[in-house]
Amino acid sequence: MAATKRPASSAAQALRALRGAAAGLGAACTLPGPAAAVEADFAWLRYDEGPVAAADAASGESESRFAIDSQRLRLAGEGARTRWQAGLTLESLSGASPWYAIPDAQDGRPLQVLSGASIREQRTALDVSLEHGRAGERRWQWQAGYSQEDDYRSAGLGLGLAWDSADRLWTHALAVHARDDQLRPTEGGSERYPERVRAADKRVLAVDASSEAVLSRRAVAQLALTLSREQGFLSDPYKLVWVASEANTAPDRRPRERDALALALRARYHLGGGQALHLEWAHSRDDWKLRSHTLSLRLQALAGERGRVAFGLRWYSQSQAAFYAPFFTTRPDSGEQSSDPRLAPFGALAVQLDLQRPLGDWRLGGGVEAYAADADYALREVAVEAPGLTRYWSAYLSLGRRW
Amino acid sequence: MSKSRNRLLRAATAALLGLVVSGCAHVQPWERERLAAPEMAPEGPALIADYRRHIAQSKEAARIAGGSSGSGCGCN
Repeated sequence: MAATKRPASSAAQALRALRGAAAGLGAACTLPGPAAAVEADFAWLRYDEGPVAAADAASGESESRFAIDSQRLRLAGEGARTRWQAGLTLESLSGASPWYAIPDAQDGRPLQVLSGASIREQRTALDVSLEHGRAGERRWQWQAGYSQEDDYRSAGLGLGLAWDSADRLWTHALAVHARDDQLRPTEGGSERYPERVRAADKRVLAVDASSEAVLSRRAVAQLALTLSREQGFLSDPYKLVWVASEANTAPDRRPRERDALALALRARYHLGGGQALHLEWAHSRDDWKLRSHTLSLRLQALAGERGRVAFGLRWYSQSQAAFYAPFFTTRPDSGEQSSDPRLAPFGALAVQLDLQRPLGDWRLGGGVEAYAADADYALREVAVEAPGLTRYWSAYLSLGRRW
Repeated sequence: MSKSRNRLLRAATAALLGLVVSGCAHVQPWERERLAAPEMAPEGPALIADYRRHIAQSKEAARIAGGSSGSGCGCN
């Protein structure tokens, strides 16, 4: 490897060159910051959904929706050949969510019925990961996660392998994830909700493959692909559909299998002056006939001595699932039916702002995100807009320290 | 309206693809200083990036390539 292009040997230039060489060891990988034996991050997060507008609500009044308060703790460390990470999430969830939609008596437009502000639960999640191997070598990664709610339990495992090309301009990775979820819906099979399932389970198997390449002194790109298969009870146990011919509701019922393919093309480009542009196009499709596109743009910049600021913009669009309708005139022959707004055709726009500022060994952070889903933002014309599309804002404060 | 969005999506995807296929110059390790800069780190704080992915996945039907959003119901 010829060293003729090495920069002139002032101390600062030598340091920068060494840092660049260190980055090169990990091929396309970037270094998140100075190496630390252990680091800890804690964040308080608030998520708040906007109300359903009076014009879209079956009650004729504006109705408030879901809110989540979360606390997240992450510990990470690294040794000579090993990196580990552990995360704990505590969440408190409360509010109302879309239940089913009925046709307006005047014009047949769908109107949203909410579940009532009766949902109140706690979620606890724990995840750990361990990566073994140096940059330039094969690196193995193990992951495990567990999440517990009153009515839902989920356990997952993952195994991954990453390696670099001989010239370390490419990094390739393969991973497989498996998850087993157990549902015990509240009041399942009760006198009040006889059609609600008492207990069910589902399994998810996913395979990830990705390649990341150094394109130039300023640019890195990654192509990622995920194939996934979900099997079991994939319906929402709480949601219902309105069947007009019966003037009654029926349970949400989806196929028991879902095969999906997700693709993403990501690029990061250093603009100079401590600024970098991150771009992403993502596409996903599945055998429920759902198709989606996402475009994301994120500008990250240094602010002051060691502070950072980032601004993100995201556009998303999806088509509807084959068995979705805001409500049904008769029960479909297939027996598959859902009025879940998340399976409806819609688009969404989100903006994000993040700030980070170091204070000695500590790191303070904060950020906000605003998100609005709307039929008008969709890639293609939407004939009937789902009344329960989500608008939300989220905000966080974080505190971190390195040792 | 939807035609212009289609065009915009195609143009953005083509530009991104163009950037990728035009690349792959041989960059020496000591020339990768900018690639190692903190502003080039793939996402913001890991805690927050994971949280936002989890929310998106519980509000949208899409699956995300190359990253699990963690476990949990997301039923609301």
